[in-house]
Amino acid sequence: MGVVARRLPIRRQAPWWGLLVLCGLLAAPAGADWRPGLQAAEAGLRSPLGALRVRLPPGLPGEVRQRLLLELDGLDVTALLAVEGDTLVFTPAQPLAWGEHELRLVEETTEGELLERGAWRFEVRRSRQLREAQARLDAELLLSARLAQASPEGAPDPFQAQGSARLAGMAADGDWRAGGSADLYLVGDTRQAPTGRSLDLGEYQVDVSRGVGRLRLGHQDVGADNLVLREFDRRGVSAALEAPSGLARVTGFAQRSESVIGIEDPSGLGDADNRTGGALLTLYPFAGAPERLFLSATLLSGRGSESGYADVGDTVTGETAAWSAVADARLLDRRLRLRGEYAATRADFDLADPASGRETDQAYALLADFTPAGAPLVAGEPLNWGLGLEQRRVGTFFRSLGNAGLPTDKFLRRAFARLDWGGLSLNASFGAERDNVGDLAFLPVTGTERGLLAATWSPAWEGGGLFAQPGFSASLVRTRQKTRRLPSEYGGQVADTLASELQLGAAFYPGSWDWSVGYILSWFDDRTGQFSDTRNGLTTLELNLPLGEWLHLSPVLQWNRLDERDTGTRSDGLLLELGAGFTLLPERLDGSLNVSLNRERASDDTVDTRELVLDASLNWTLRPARSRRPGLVLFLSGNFQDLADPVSDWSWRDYQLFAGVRSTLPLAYD
Amino acid sequence: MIKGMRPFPALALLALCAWASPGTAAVTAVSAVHGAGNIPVNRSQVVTVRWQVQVSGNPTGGPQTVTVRSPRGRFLSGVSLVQLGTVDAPLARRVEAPATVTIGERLRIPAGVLQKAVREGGAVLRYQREFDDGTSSAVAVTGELMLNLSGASGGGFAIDRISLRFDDDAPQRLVAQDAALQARAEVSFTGTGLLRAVWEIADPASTMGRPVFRTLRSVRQQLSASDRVRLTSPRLPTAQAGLYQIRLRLLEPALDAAPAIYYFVRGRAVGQPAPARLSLLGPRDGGLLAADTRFRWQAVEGASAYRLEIHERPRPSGPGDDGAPVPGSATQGGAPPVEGPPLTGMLVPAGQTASGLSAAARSHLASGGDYLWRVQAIGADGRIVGVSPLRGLRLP
Repeated sequence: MGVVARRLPIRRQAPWWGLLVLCGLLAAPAGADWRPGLQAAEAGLRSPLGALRVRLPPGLPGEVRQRLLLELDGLDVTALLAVEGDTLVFTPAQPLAWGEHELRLVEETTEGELLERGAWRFEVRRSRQLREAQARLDAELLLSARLAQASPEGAPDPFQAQGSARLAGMAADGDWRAGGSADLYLVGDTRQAPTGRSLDLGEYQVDVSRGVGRLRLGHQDVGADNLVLREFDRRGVSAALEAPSGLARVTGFAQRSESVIGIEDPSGLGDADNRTGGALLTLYPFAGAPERLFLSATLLSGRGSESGYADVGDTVTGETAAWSAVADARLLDRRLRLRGEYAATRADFDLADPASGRETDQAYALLADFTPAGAPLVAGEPLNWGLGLEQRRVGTFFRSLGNAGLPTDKFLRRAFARLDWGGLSLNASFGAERDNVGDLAFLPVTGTERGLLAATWSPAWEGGGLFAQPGFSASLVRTRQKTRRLPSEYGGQVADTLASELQLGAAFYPGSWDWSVGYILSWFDDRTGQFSDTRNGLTTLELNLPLGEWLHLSPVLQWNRLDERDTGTRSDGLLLELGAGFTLLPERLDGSLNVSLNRERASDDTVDTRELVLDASLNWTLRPARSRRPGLVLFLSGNFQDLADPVSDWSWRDYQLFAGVRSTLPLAYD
Repeated sequence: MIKGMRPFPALALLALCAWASPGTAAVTAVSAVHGAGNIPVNRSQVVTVRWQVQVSGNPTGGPQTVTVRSPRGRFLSGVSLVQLGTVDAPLARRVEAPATVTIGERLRIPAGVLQKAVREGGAVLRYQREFDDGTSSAVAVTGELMLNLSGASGGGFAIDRISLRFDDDAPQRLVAQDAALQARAEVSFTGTGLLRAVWEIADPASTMGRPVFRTLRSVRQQLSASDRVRLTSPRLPTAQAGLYQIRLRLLEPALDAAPAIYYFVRGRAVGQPAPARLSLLGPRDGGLLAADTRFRWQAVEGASAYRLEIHERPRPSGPGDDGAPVPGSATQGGAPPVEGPPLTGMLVPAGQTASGLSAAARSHLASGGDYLWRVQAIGADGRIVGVSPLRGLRLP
């Protein structure tokens, strides 16, 4: 039986013809307008280390493929691409962060232009329910026993426990995000504990945001930088609303005025006499070029003092109300910066004194900074330069708890310039200032003129050697101070001084090790005869030297000489320190030794002190800590101290020897 | 014996007189000196006052121990003598009369008192204390200290405020072993002088018992004209796990307290070594990006890839901050820190220790721009195993 071929009717032939045409189209080389495709993730979820596959149209010429560049979040990752037929495969070298990413495929044409062939935004997610979820606990517990001590009286209990733990976690999906962290401390000896409690809370923060809103509790800095609020990192609460474009934000905050740690006053708002609150508004009016203008306004009021945890200052509780308005513009293609700020405060310096009253005062700051366009070539290197002017006035009684320590009673005018050429940077400034800005007739006016010249130089260096990868720095500052106006019958001191400081520094990076040398020379001349003229020279030499895998040395030498010209007294100080870290058995036995010798002597025999301190430790790792598995380390450590002051006929010698066990537990879910 | 008195009442009377008047030693004169110079009116000040109190002896002869005391002090306007404030801090000293005893006092002059003194007018502030010998019949003698006021720059050299933090502005830190860590002290001062201070540290070898502070570095810096400076510590030790205390102890001018902050170093876990330092070979810091610029670095053991990052240089934002580099600092490592992801860069495999910038990467950079760059080495498990310092980069 043979096969009888039958001709198909025309209408039945149509699909087959269509299929032939389609195959022909697919087989034909890609046209100029080809588009790649990003392969969907397996199971619909992209993981942090999941490969990204970009499918190219078949038949793409090889010379076109050679000109393709793949970017992930702005980083060119082409060098790590693998090719599987018509598919470009990129496997991230590092886990991608949770959240949105951008992948871009561009073609560099033969004319040198960049053609974007494809751009995709994708999301890396933990699961369908949550885009991100992480939790982490890092804990450490140390139990020690004091084996020996030369002077046990007054020493703490021989058995001590110390430890720390950091808890952190976060979750996010859609437009919401919640996270937080907290530090806990265990210091068995309450005399050493930062808060006087053995177990206590350190810093903590809880952060919740959804859409345009954000709420934060704990230690925070709302991010202002102006005359009334600057680096105000305190415990408290803040709430912010931010426009989706990011061009406007308003923040309300209430924080403890004084720095605090510990469980006492956990919210930071428990003491009405120790609380500062306010609002901050920031705005970028030009959406298309936000850098052109930045506006901000700050309002705050509060009560408290200028002291706190790790802050030593005025302990009197006062009250202040303050506001500031800032305009900061970058014009002429960001080459001209103009900044202006005006601020005012009203302060009651002593709440406990009903007669203290309130004092109002003002401040302003103006800045202009210009960098010309184009850089002329000098010896083949571009020469960039810029210059600027500054004027600032801060009233005598200007005071804000949000910027404690701000220098007040100052009117300053300053001009500055900078130059960059090759690896050389030069900076120069000259300023004149005066005090008694309120022109109080019964007080003198003291004027100060300050000149600064600073240079850094990083010459090109090929190869190694002792002086490889050098960096040099030098600066000279001269400050002349003189009483400009003296009221009649003024009985106080007048000023007529010249203070100067020269700093020289050099650092070298021959390879895995580095070393540096520095010298500071300060001299002070008082032309009124009230204070002694002085000369002080400080020399510092440091070395950081790893010797293979088993030893690391870090010696330091500092030598200081102070000459008091009027009395003829000379004081010398010498600091010699040798730090050594060693590994006897990798991941098993290691330790450290630190020797510090400090000697101070004065030529008139009023000072003669010697300090020798030795610290040493030896650690035997029974079981190394791994993720979700605690480690165990036995240790032996000791300390020796020898102090002597023959002038006061006083000496002290003590040693301590400890043994103990330490456990580290890293737990992570991410 | 008093004539006419019976013996017992006479003895009783003598005893009563003896009890009522243990001696006639008395404070006869008080003077005061301080070495602080002028007192600037814009901020509270701490001055050391030395009271010299003369105590006369017992006219009947023989030594006599008395307690010289002053319950409180007060501030008065130098012009109107109006009381401006009080100091409720008693002073006392036992002395064997006759003698001249010196009693020291660390006196804080509150800003509120200075403000009121200015309001009253006059360039002098008076501080008075009354001293007596502690007996019920004591007659107090007033000693007075004259304090000359001035503007901020004309004041004596003194520290107004010191704030100690770590380099991320935190007052406490938990760090991993071998992590980079520094502390900084922000010092507000008045007047002019040479600041002498020492950074001191107590490490785990002693903090398990009696903490022993050793000198880490000496600080000598010429300060002028009432300002605020930031002192940065050297790199702090983190090689050993445990509790550390770091402090800046001021030698001159002295402060009553040396604030200390604490940090804990937690032990290393396997697979979590600190990143090694990655050395850069070129281009130099502040170099210009040319068409043929190649970024070069030294290889890091264990790297499976290198990431060349280019960041926008952070813009100065504060008042009067022109972004000038800190005088005297070496360039390398002196660049400001960067936050957030890079603007652009290159990812290259481990066998490559040099790379140019592709056209795509360059397209993210603006002509005339000012950038920072660095290289990170990535290990096979995706961790960072090496980090270079930041260097500046400019575009023509």
